[in-house]
Amino acid sequence: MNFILRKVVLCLTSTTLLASFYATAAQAPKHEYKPDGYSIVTIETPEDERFHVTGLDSDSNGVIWVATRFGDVWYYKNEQWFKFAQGLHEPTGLLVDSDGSLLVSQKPELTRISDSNNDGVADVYEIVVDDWSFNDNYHEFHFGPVKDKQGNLYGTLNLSHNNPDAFTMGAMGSPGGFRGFAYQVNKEGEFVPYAWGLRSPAGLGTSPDGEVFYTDNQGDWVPTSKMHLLKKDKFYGHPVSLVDVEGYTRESIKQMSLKQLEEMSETPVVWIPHVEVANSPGNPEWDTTEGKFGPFSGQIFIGDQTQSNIFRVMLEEVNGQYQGAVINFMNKFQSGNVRTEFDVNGQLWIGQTARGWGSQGDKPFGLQKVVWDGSTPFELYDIKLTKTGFRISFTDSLSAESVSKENLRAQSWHYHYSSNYGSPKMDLETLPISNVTLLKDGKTLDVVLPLVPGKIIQIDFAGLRDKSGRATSVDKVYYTLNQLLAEAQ
Amino acid sequence: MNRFAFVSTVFFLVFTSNTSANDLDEVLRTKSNDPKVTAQGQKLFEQICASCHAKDLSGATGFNLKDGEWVHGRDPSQILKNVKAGFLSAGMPGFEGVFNELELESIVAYVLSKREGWEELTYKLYQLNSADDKNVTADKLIKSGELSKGLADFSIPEVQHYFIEFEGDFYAPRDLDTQIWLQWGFPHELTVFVNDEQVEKGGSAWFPTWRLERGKQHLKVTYRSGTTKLNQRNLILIGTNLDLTVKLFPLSTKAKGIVEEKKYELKANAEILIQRKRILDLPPSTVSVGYPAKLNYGFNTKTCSVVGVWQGDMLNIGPNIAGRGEDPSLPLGEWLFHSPEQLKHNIEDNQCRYKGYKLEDGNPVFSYQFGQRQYTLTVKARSSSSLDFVYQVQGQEVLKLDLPQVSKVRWEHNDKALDPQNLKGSLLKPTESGRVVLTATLKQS
Repeated sequence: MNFILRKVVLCLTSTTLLASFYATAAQAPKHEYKPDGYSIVTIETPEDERFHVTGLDSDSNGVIWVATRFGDVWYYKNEQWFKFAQGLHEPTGLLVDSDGSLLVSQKPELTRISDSNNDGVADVYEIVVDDWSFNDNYHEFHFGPVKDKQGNLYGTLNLSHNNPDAFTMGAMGSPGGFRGFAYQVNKEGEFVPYAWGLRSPAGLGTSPDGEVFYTDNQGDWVPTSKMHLLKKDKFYGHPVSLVDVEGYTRESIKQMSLKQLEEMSETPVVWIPHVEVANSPGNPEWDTTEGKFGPFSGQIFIGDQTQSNIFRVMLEEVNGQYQGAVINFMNKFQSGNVRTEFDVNGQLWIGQTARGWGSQGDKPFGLQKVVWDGSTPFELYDIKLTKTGFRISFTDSLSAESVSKENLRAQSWHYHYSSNYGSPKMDLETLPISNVTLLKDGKTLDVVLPLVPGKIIQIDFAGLRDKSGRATSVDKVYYTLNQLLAEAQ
Repeated sequence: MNRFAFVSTVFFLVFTSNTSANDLDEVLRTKSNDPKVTAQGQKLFEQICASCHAKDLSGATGFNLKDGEWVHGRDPSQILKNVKAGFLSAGMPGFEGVFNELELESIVAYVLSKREGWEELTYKLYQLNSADDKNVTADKLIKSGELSKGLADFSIPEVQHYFIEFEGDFYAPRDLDTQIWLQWGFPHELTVFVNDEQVEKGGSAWFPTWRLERGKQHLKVTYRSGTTKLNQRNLILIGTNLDLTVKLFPLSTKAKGIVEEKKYELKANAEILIQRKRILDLPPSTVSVGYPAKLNYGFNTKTCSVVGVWQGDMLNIGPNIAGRGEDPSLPLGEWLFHSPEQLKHNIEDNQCRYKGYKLEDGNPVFSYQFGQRQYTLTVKARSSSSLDFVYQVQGQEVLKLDLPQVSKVRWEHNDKALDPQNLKGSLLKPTESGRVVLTATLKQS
């Protein structure tokens, strides 16, 4: 979700830097991209309702549950809408719990909502936790919850903006009270400040293995949007939330060097290139449909509020740490995509809002879904690091004639961590591709190129074709090369 | 009738008619400055007109009556005529015969007293030679005119480098200090003059403000395009209160939609409404509840206290759900009290632990604890002027409450009025079932 402040709220001192940044800024793909076999279906939302879908989940019966920014909870069953709960404070997350009750993250509180008399309408609104400070600042969003395998819940707490009482070192601030934190609610129901240094952490997701990941939006101290594995007691880069960590004061935080802060910071599993892929990503959603949604099973699908698109994340473990790549999947959605959810039928539902932060899609709000008709697309399927480059596989057989060094291009860069609002691509350079080999399966390439850790490697493959002459709808992939394979170091 | 006689007669009729209209205009304008007349007008307006034109005159099914746009004529005599005759085809009845002349005039006087924005607004556009050109001279004037809607239109210029000025009589609220706010204002060269004196720019770089005087004044706003980007020149000028929490009225065309978007009224007409929103004058984490009896209260989940009660309709949540939702919702009625005055437990060194609410016939029953002691609170509207605060305590614990010290409310327990001079630490004995009923009744003014 684009709960970030964009170019209009720039600190004055960085105007010059930003001017040069925008002069060289990358562009989002202008064409419509969409794998063959996939289409967007628009769901009619209730008439006269401001239906900004910012909480989205589905249950085992395929019923879709949504929380709206207006403050209501609805469910969609047999193509009909039913209002379940109302009067909440700008909820931005919803989880259907195993007992059928709902967990909704409204700004001041994580709330469990249930229907005790089974009349189809909620009548019990119980607090789960509210142990953070909420100061009525518009940017103090509360995202989540998600649940790990042990049954612990997790949520994230956005920093504030333009709050005169807040401690700031850039655009966003915290007056204290766990703003910029991820929290856990353990099985005993206790609130645990879990990790800190978050900025606008608009999306949380649990992997099939039960690990929790979150996305954060580009801005001050976040050079481009990113996705992290959430780990206990770790720092994720935005310094102001350190005010709530023992041993720090506002003064001592300001004295810290950039190097100190950077070394303390967790490394994202992927960097998400600004504008080209996303400005304001939502929740990571794993494709657990076992093929019902097509060939991308096990991969992660994330919506972007500004770009009105969906992109994929492909992770692998390198030396015991996650890293991987991002690639655009589909664009031209009607509004800002903030929530993604696979239902039991293998459909990808997309919750949307564009209020306050504009989106490429011109509708103010809505709900759409992506469906697959069973036909085989021709797209990049996966990318894995090798000792000498990357092994890149496709969803359909490649035309051997199109496989050549000349039909591939690569470049690399890194980002500059600072209080500035985003970072340009630093040390951007073209990488020479020394060899490309098509493997026996006909779908996979081994690409040899120089590897330098700490870089984002972009590979362009617009020249590749499948056997029937199709080009891919998306022709760039971005790999976050945190580490090389151990044997290659 | 010969031609001369006909012309003379027409001239006479028009002249006398104009004269009497002008006189009446003056009479009504004078009355609009008389608090006694406007108070009477307000009472009638709220009884009769507010249902269509909104209590704050901002319009609903009927037109906005405080902005600069008068569809059926702006002169006070014309407004009076329209109130008398109505527009039946548009659903507005005539009120001649319903009220006497003085009452009708008081309504018009009240409407005039609430006027906000420009009147007889004009503009002048000068073409400049370059982004650096600051020399605004008469020979560079390329366009001028009147803006009948009373809003500065910054989209008029179709040249790259320019200076534009907007000028006219201006009405700011008489009972509130206000200012002009330029949204995203940092790069813009905007200058404001009130009664020909330049107003010092206040606020911050991105949120600049200029103070207005109360009531009628002459307002001039000038803008030089300079080096600002072409797509950022359609400026958003909004009249606000001094802490910027309430966006009151638009001054520019682009601001109009933004201000209008900040109106979304929730009224408890048929059923009890519950809303968690940011609300002006109430602390964060407050759940507000509105009753069809037109009484409302706010329960704070951090302190487990009642932090406000107001009479009238519930909330305009528009400011909190428009745009980024920066602004607080506005109670639509009149406060009986609000935070820091509150109805709260008098318990030392004990943090409240809020547990949630359950709906009983749509009415929330709030549950909470202080230490190990459990409480519930539910509120019942007895009438449009009386609320019962019903506490359930454990056992026979005497409830110790601090009550708000407000002159408008009489507090009763067990049909006995509580001493208005000694409301802090009131001891309220429960019934055998552990129930304590505290009644707040609005005193008749």
